[in-house]
Amino acid sequence: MNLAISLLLTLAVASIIGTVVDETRTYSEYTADYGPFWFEVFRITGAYDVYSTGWFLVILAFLLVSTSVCLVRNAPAMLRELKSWRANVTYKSLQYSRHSRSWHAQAEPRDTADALCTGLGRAGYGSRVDEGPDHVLVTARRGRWNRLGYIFTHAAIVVIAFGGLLDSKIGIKVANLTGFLEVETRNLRASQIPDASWLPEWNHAFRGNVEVPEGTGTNVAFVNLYDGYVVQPLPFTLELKDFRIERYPTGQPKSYESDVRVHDPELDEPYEQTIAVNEPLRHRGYTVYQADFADGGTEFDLTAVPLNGHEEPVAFSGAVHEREAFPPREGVRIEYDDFALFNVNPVTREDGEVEQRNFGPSFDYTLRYPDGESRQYRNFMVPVEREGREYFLSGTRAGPDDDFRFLYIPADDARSMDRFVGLVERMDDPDRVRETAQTAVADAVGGSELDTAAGRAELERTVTDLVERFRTSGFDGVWAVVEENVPTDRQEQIFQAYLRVLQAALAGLYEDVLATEGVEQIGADEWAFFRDALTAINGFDGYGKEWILRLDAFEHVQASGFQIARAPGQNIVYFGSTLLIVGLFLMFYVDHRRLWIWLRREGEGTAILMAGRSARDTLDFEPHFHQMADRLARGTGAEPRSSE
Amino acid sequence: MAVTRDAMDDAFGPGFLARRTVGDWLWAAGVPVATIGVLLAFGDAMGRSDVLILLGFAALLLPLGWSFRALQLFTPVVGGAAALALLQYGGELAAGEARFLLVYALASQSAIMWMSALFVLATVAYLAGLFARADWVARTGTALTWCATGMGFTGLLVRWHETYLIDPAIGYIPISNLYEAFILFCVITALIWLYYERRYAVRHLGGFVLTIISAAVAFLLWYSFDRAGHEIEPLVPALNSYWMKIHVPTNFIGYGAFALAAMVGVAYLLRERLLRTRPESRIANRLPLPAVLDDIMYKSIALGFAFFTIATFLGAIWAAEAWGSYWNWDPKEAWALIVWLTYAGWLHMRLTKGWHGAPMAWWAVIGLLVTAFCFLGVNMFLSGLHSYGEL
Repeated sequence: MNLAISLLLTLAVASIIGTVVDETRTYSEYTADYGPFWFEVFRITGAYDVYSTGWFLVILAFLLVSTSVCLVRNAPAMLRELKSWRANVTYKSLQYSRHSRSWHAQAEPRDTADALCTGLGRAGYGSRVDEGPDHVLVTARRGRWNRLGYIFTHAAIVVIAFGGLLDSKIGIKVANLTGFLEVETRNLRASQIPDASWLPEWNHAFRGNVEVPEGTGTNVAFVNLYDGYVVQPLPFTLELKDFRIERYPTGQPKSYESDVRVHDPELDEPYEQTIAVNEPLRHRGYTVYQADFADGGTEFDLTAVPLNGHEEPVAFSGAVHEREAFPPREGVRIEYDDFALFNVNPVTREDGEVEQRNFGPSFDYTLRYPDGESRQYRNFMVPVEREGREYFLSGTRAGPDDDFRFLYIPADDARSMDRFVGLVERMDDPDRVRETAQTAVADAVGGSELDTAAGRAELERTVTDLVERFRTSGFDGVWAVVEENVPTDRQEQIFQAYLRVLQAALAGLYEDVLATEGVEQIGADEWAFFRDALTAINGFDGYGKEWILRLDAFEHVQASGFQIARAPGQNIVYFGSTLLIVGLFLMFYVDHRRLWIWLRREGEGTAILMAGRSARDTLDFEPHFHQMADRLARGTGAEPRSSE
Repeated sequence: MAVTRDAMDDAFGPGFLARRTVGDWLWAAGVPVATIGVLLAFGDAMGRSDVLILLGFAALLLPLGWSFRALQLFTPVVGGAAALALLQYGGELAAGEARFLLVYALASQSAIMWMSALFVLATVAYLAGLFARADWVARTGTALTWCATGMGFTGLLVRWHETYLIDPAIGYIPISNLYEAFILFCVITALIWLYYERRYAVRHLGGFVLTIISAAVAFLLWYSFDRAGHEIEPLVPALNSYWMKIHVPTNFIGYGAFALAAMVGVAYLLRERLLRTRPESRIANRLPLPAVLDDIMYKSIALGFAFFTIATFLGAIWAAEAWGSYWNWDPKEAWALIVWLTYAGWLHMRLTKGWHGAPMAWWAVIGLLVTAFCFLGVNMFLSGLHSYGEL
């Protein structure tokens, strides 16, 4: 029995280890987290999958064996105890029992025994009477099913472990170890995966995942194994007709639902059902769960808007998961990564309250340049409001470990990027820049001692240069010009002067843009737009490309992530659990109590000795025993003679 | 001899049904009436599973009220207070900030604050009762605990209604995040305590049990003020299931009973230590005898273990429906197993080795630490499928 307790505690400690390392991640994530050395240490000790390592299973097996041995050894005794009346007691043993009482009754033994049986029956005891040579023995018992509690609980552990074992990955792992099955680590289509990584269709226990785009179907599932997967073929085809996300009024998802059609050669015709979280589909012993969702290849109509000012916008189309040449630029490739129909984000309103706001559709893509560099982008389709003004958001980052840094491109009155692009275009037009530089310089130096033809030409060149620097490197670029040409003590002063003249020059370009739009009155809104535009252009440097992609239209195609499982042990485990619970209640709340009442003729009446015992020695039994003795004594018409 | 048989009948007195009091029969009539009332009032919003759970709950309540008679008064008072709050709301969430009764007592936030304050006061009263000569001090503790528990249950029921007032689509039973779980823990632990207090006449243990409840209250207040944990947020899809209505309360009967056992264990150890140094210590002599403490500890752990096992089984069935497997070795599941093993070990020691006393008391205390990690630590330090109440 000490063994059982040690095993219980060892298993507890072993289980703790498994919760220290997050078991659900990939090998590459582990390497990144722990470094190559600890990654290897953890891999060898099985820390990523503690619960199916050999040593964990050995502990489980030990517990199982120990429980079984206990069961085999003790169950017969328990059953005997359950059946037996234990009527072979002696007067002496009753006398020295921990709970005993004696009294004298008026009636003769046989009649007294009858009366006692009535009383015992009233208190829920079953009783029987044995007549000896010089005595009558009444034996009574109650709650004997308590003894089944022991058998049920211990058998339950064995049953649960057996069921769990049936559903475990052990079969698959053995197949892998013995070389019948190879783990596939590449990202391939099912049809391209070599036969060595396919499980047989008859495999009785597995749990796999599969992603099905709308309008397509699947007849396989992928079972994760170590750092890769193996393929489980299914005897039916699961076709996804539609995937939806039901939402709360606040925009957060309420439920994920998939309308599927099941095609099975054994069926006369396919049938349709909706799978949702908490509402799986059950088909021929297979269960299909709503596990996940993803983009199933949403199609885009895009326009690449040039930010360099001298190229024409290029329209093209693509779809999520596709990788192809980036149409506007030779040598660059574009990968369409993802699409999101809703982007619900918490926004702090002016009154300080946080509300959930939907930013509308967004799409993610990666641009890969010939030099091996790549950047990821996330663009929103429609302008997003911030502090009363609207912006097109475009975020960028170097890789998945970084956060997106967003460029806020102000939207014009027509909610388009045209005005902003117009400004950028003009900044790149040498003639227009020269013109505006002339005006700005004339305004700045007109009438002063610097106002010479040579001075003006010199200043105009400087302003033209500043515009170019600002366009390519933002305010930092302007500062760099100052640092190159100006002694340290005057840098700040010149920088401010440069900014003023640069702003004047850009304002000239901006007025030009507005004029072509037909805007004549330049109000506060227009100037706010101008400041936003300068802020956005200032951010170009970190943005790292000359194009901004605008999403013009999309055809949303979703994919539903299913988990498909076959778990023949499930009902066995449920049965074992039920057995366990019934057993526990029998053990805790049914007390096996025995009473013995020894009757001997004494004069006209009967001398009575009563003793009792409870299987679980709790405090309840003693008062119960004395209450029984009091009542039985009163019922036999006698005052108790003595009590211990 | 017939005469003796009649005498025997007299000695054993009236049978089970004949021993029922007027209160018992009122209870037996009241539970179905109240159930029908609930069905009439909310039937439209209830699904088939909700109705079944309600009927099952009513069926459990009937014997519970017969064996724990204080519930015969407690339940109607709580139900009445909640009904009053609903009437005051009149279907408008805004009433919660306008109507006097709601603002100061019955709106869920107010009721929970009352519960918190009363539990702390009850702790103080019980502890003072340990030292005081007068009996009424500790009795005040009992009364305050009843009031606090009543406010807690009322708060939960009213909050249930409030979730629907925010939007019928959002409505959920308020036992789904850490804030609500802590309230549930407080009231369930208190109720189990009140039962044992009456059953064993061990009022002086109250200070110990209420201390753990006050600790939970402290966490609750911090979570509410610092993390705005009381905000009502819609449920994530996986929680949107009738299983929650059974799995969570069952689990908390387990947690509550384990917490109670541990605090009795603390009382046991303290009593032992005090008596060793000062045999005449009044506090130690006021605490129940070791055999009684031992018995309460066993009863409480047995209760907790049985319900914890049921809860884990229900959780497994739910997991099979929602996540695709009845056992995922998710950190919460693994820790539930660890808790289960800890107490399985305790029960083995007690039932097969016959261990009693200090070692078992220590074990119960350590068991609570393990339980606390399962309840709270997993959410704080580990991520997994159960990451609903993150800190």
